[in-house]
Amino acid sequence: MIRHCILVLSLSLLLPPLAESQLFYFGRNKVTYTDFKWQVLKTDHFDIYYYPEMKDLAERGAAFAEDAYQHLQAKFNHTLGSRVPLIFYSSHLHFQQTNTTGGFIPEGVGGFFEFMKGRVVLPSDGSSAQFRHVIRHELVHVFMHSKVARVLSDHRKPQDRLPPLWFTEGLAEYWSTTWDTQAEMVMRDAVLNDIVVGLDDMERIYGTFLMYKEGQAALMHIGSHYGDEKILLLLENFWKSTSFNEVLGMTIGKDYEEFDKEWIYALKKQYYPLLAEFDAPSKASVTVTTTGYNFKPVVVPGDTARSVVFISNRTGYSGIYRKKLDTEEKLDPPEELIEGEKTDEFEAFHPFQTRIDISKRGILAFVTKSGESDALHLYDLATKSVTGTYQSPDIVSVGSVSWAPDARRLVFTAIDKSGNNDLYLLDTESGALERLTRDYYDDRDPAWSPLGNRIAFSSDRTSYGKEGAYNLFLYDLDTRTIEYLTYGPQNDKSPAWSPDGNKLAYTSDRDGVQNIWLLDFPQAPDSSLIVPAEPSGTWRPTRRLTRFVTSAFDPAWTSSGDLVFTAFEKFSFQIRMLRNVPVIADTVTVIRPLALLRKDEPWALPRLSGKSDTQRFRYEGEYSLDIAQSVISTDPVFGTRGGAFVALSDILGDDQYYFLLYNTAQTQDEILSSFNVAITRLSLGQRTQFAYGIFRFTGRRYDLTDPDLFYYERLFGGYLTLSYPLNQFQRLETSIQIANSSKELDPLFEPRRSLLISNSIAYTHDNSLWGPTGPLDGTRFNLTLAYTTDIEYSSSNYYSIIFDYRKYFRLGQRSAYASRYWLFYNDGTYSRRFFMGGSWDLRGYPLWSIRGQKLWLTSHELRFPFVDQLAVRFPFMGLSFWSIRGALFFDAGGAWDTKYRETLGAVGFGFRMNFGGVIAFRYDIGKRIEQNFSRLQTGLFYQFFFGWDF
Amino acid sequence: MTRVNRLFGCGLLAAILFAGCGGALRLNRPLAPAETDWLMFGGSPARGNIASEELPPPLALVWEYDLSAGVASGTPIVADSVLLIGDLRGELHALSATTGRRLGWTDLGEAIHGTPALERTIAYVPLTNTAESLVAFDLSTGKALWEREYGEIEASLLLTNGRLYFGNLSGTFFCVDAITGDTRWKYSLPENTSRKGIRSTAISSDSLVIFGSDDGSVTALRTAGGRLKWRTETGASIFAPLATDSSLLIAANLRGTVTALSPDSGRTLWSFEAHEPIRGHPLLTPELVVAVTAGGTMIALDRITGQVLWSTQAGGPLSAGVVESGRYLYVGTLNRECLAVRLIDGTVVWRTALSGRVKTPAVVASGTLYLVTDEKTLLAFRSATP
Repeated sequence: MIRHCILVLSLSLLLPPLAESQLFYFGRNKVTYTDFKWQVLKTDHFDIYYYPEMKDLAERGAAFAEDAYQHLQAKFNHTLGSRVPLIFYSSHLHFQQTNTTGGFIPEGVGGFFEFMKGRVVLPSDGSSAQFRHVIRHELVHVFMHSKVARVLSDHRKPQDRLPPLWFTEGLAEYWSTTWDTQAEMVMRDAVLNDIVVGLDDMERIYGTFLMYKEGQAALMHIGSHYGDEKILLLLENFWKSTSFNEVLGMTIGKDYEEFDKEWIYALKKQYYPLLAEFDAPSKASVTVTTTGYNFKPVVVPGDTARSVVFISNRTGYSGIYRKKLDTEEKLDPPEELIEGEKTDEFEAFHPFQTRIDISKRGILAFVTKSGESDALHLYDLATKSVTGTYQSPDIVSVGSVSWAPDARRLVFTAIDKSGNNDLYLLDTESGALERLTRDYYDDRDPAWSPLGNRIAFSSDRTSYGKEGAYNLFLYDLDTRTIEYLTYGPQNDKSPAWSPDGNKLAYTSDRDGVQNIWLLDFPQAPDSSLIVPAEPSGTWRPTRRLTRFVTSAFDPAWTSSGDLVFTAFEKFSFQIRMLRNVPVIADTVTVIRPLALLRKDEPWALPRLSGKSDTQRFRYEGEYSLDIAQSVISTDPVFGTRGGAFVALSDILGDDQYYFLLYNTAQTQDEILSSFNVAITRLSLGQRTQFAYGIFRFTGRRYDLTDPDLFYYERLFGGYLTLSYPLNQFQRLETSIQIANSSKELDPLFEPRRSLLISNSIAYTHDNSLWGPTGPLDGTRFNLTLAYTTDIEYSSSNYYSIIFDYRKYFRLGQRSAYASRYWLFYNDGTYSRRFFMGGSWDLRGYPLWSIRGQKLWLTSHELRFPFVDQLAVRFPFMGLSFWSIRGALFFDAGGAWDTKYRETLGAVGFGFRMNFGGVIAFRYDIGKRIEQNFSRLQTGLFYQFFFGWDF
Repeated sequence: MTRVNRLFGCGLLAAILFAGCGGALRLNRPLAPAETDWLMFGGSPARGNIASEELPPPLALVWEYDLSAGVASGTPIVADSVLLIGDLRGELHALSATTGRRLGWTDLGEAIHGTPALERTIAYVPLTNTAESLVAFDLSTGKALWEREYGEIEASLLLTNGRLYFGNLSGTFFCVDAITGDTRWKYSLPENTSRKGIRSTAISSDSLVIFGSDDGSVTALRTAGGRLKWRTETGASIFAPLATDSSLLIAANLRGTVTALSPDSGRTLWSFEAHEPIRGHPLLTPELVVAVTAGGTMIALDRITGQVLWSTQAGGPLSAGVVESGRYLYVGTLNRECLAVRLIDGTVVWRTALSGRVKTPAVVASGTLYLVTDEKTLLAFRSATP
C-alpha cells in the first residue's frame, strides 16, 4: 500500500534520519497508473465524478442514481441532507487505483460508501444492470446512515453506533435488488449443508458473502411475515436500545433467538423439499478437485491422459494448474503451471470472470492483470513457457478467451475505457486486433465453434437485458450478423461447444439456480453448422443436463463427451465431471422450449429526465476535513504537552494535507519558543507520488539511537520524498531532508549545533502472502543507501546501509518456514545507532536494548496452525478466538559501534493470535543464548507483546 | 465548617450540577380554550384537520422556536394563545402561540411520539419506550395529576366526552377515564403474533371509536363498553390516522390503498390504489378526499365515487397529511418545503423553503400556521397579505 508507505516515510523523516525507518518500509504498492482527467456532472442530488472516456457511462449512472434516490426516499421516508459525491470508474482495474481509500481493493468489492466524506465509489463491470444495482446498494447505505443519524439526533442520543453489519448489508441488498440466482445458490447451500447461522451467531460469518445474503434473507423473512414496514421501523426504533437484539424484539416482538428458531425453520421448510428433485453436485458427479477454490476448467485437447487446466487459489495465491481427470487429488496433486500474484506479469487473475482456453496446438490462453491493464498471455503446455503476451492501449480489462479452430485467432471480451464490454478478435500471429461489437450491451463468454466462423456468446442485448438477464447469441464472422440462440428472462451463460460442434453446453438459471443445459446443433452434410430452429421458427428445444441443488458453472467438454465444470457446494468451488453426457442427455433431461417469437427491440440507455438540472465542469479539487484531533498528555519526564492534528484531503483522495501543532512548554515564558509545527503535503494522483513538508520541533528528547541521554533540542527544516512504484511489488524511493538542529546535551556546555542534509535512495520488494499473523509465502527485501552530512559545522558525516531480506518458504497450506537477514550499517563521524531486542527481532532481550552503529540479525521461524477456533460460552455471551498460530524460532545477532562485541541469540516457541484483524498478540517462551553464543540462559524467558510476524 | 455550611455547600454544588437539567412548566393563568382552538390531533374530534379559519397564502415566517429534539408524528396543540408541543426527548414545551416565547417546559422522561390532548388546563401526553406511558399533566400546578402504564403509545390521543382513546404498540386499544386515568375498557386485537401494533390515531363517529392498525385492519368499537362493532381488512399496515364524518370513513395504508368505508357497517364503498405508501392522514371534506403519498403525490378523490379529481406533485415525499384552511391546503414535504395548494384544483399557489424536513401535519389556529421541521424547529407563519 504505497499511500501508507509514503506517509510513513514522510513522517519518519520528521524523526532523526534513518534510524526509526528501520521499522517501516515494506508493503505492496497501490499504483496510480492512469492519468484520470476528472470531470464533474451535477444532477439534482449528486455530484458525479468521472473521466471523459466514460461520459456515456457516467450519464447512465446519473440516471440510475436519481432513479434510486426517488425510490429510496419513499422507502426510508427520508431525504438526504446534502449532495452525495458519486465517484465512478469505468472498470474494476481503474477502481483499484482509487485514492479515496488507502487499502487495496479486492476483486470481489463492487463499490463502497465511505462515510467520512459521504462518498460513494464504484466501478462498472460492463453490465448496466449490475451498475444500477451497485449504485442502488451503496445509496441504501447512504440513506441508512443519514436516517440513523437523524433518528438518534431526534432523540438527542449520541450518534455513536450503527446497526450490525448483517442488517446494513442485508438491507442494502434487500432494497437494491431482487432475490437472484446467486443469493438462492448461497442460501440453498447454507441450509442444506447446515452452514446457515442465525442472527444470534452472525459473528461466525462476519463480513462474508454468506452474511450479506443471510442478512438479505432475514430481512425478506421479516418483510413477508411481519410486514415491510417493520424494516423501516427497525431503523426508527434504533434509538430505543444500544442492543439491536432488543430493537428487533421491540419491533417485531421477537429477539434474535426467537427469530432464529422461526426463520431457520422456515428456511428448512423451503429448501429441504428440493432434495427430492435436485442433488448435491458431490452426489451426482465425479470429483476432480477438493482443495481451495477452483474455477474455469478447460480440457487439454489430444491428451490421452485426460487432463484439465484450471484457475485455483489453492496456495493462497491464484494460479493455473493442470490435473489428470481420472486420478484422485490426494494421490496425484495438480501441477502448478503459472504462479500468479507474485510478479508484475501475472499480478492477479480474475477467477470469477475470465475463462481460459487451449488451442489444438496446446497453447493455453489466459488473462491476468499486468500493470495498468489486463494482458492476454499464451503459454505452451509442451514447453511450459509463455510464448506471447498481448496488451492494447485501448483495452483495460479482458474477459473470457476462446481459440478459433485454426489455433491462430482468438476471440475474447474486453472492457475499454468507456466501460463497454465487447467482443474482440486477435490474430496471434500478426497481432491484429479487431473489435466485433461496439455497443453498451454486456457481451461475455465467447466460444468459437469448432466448425467454422461462428462464435456463441452470452449477452444482455435482449429486451430482458435491462433487468440483468443474459441470453445466448451466435456471431457469424462471415456475415457479421448476430443471431439469437436463446431468449427469455433467465441467465444463459458460458456456452461451450462439444468437440464435434454438434452440441452447445451452457449454464442457465431458468429453474432457479445455474445448471448445465444443452442445445443441439445438427450438422449439415458439408459439416457446416446448422442453427437449429423448429418448423414454426418460434421456439427451440433445450435439454437440462444437471439437476444440482446449488449451481454449476463453466462447462468444458472432453474429447470423449464428458463435461468438466465448476460446482458450488459447502461454500466451495470445485472442479467436477459429468461422464457420458450424450447418454444422459438422451435419457433423463427435461426439454424446455425457448421462445423465440417475441423479440422485442433491445433495450435503450436510460437518460436523465429533462427535469434534472445537470451541469458539467472540470474537477479542480474540493477539499474537506478528514480528521481533527486534539491531545493533551502528561508525562513524568517530559511534562505536559498539548496539541492538535488536522488532516484535509480532496474528494478523490489524491491530495492530502497534514497539519500538526503542539506545545511542549513547561513554564509560561517557554510558550512562544515551544511550539512544534509540521506541515505535510502528500500527492498520490500520479504514478510518481511525492510528499514534502516543513517542520519545527522543540523540547526535551530521549533518543533511542543516541547514547542514553535526555537533552533539549530545537530542530527545524524541510524535506521532499519521491516514490516510484515499478509495479505492485517493487518501488524506488528517494528523499532529501535538511534540518537545523541545536541540542543542549549538557547545560554546562554550548549546544551542539548542526545543519544536516540527509539523502537516501531505497529499493523495496514485497510479494509476501499473509496468513492470520504474518507472511507465509513470498519475499520481502529492502536496500537503503543514505548519506548524512553536516554542511555548516561538520559535526556529523556518515553513510548508512540498510539491508533487510526476508524469505518465506511454504511448507503447506497454512505452515511456512520464515527466515530474515538484517545488516544495518552506519559509519562515519557521529553516526547514529540502530537498535534491536524484544519480540519483533532478537527475542528474549529487553525491548530495543541492544544498540550499535552496526547491527546484524538473522531469524528463523517455523510457523504452523495451532488452534483454529477457541470458543468460550458464558451464560450471558459467547467469545471466540480465531487463528491461534504456533511458532518455533531461533534468532542470532549482534550490535557494535567500532569493535564487534558479542553474538547473542535466542531459541524457543511461541503463540500468536490475530485479534479482530487489526493486531496480532504474541507470546514467546524460550531461552537466550548468551555470552557470545557459549551458554544457554538459566531458566526461561517469557515475552508478551503485539505485532505481526516478521 | 459547620453542618449548615456543609449542607449549603452541597446544595449549591447540586444546584450547579443540575442547573438546566430539568425545566418547569406552570402557566400563570387558567386556559380558556375556544371552539377554534386546536386541542388534539386534527384539531378536535369532529374537525379532522380542517381549520376553522382561512389563512390565505403567501405566508411569512413570524417566529421560530428551537425544540432541541426532534418530533415524530405529533403536532402542536393550541389553546387560548398557548401552544404545547412534545418532542422525542420527552419534553413538553409551552409557548406563547403569538410570539413563540417560551412559557415553560417539563421533562416527562421518554419520547413523545403522538400529539397530546388538552382539556382545560390538563394536558394528556402519550409516551413511548416507558412503562408509565400516559401522563395527565396539570399546566396550572406544573405537576402530573396521574401517570399510568398503558404500554408504548406512538399514536396521538383522542379525547372526547371525558374519555381518552388510543392504541398501543402491543395491539391493545384503551378507553381511559380522563379524570382518574383508570381504564374504562380495553380491546385487544385478535391474536396476532406477527403484526401487532396500533400506530394510527383513533377517530370517533357517533357512538363508535374507530382505528387502524399494523395488521391492516380497521376496527370499530362501541364507545360504550368497547364491544366490537365491525372489523375490516385493507390489505396493508395502516399507520396514518383515519378520517371520518357521519357518512364516510377513509383509511389509507402503506401499500397506497385509500379505502372508503361506511362508518356504521365497515362496508367498503370504494377504494383507490395510489401505488405508493401513504403515511400521512387523509383529509375528508364535504366534497373530496385528499391523500398524500410517500412518492410525493397529492391526490384528490371524489368522496362519492373515489374518482381522481386532481393530482399534484409536491416535489418531494409527503410523510405528513394536509391541513385544510378555507380554500387552501397546506402541507410540508421531506424535501424541506411548505406548499399551499388550491383545494379546488390542486394548483400549487405558494411554496417556501424550510430548514428541515417536515414529517408532521401543519396546524392552523389563531391566524397562524404552525409547522415543525426535523431541524428541531417549530415555525410560525402568518399571512403576508394584510
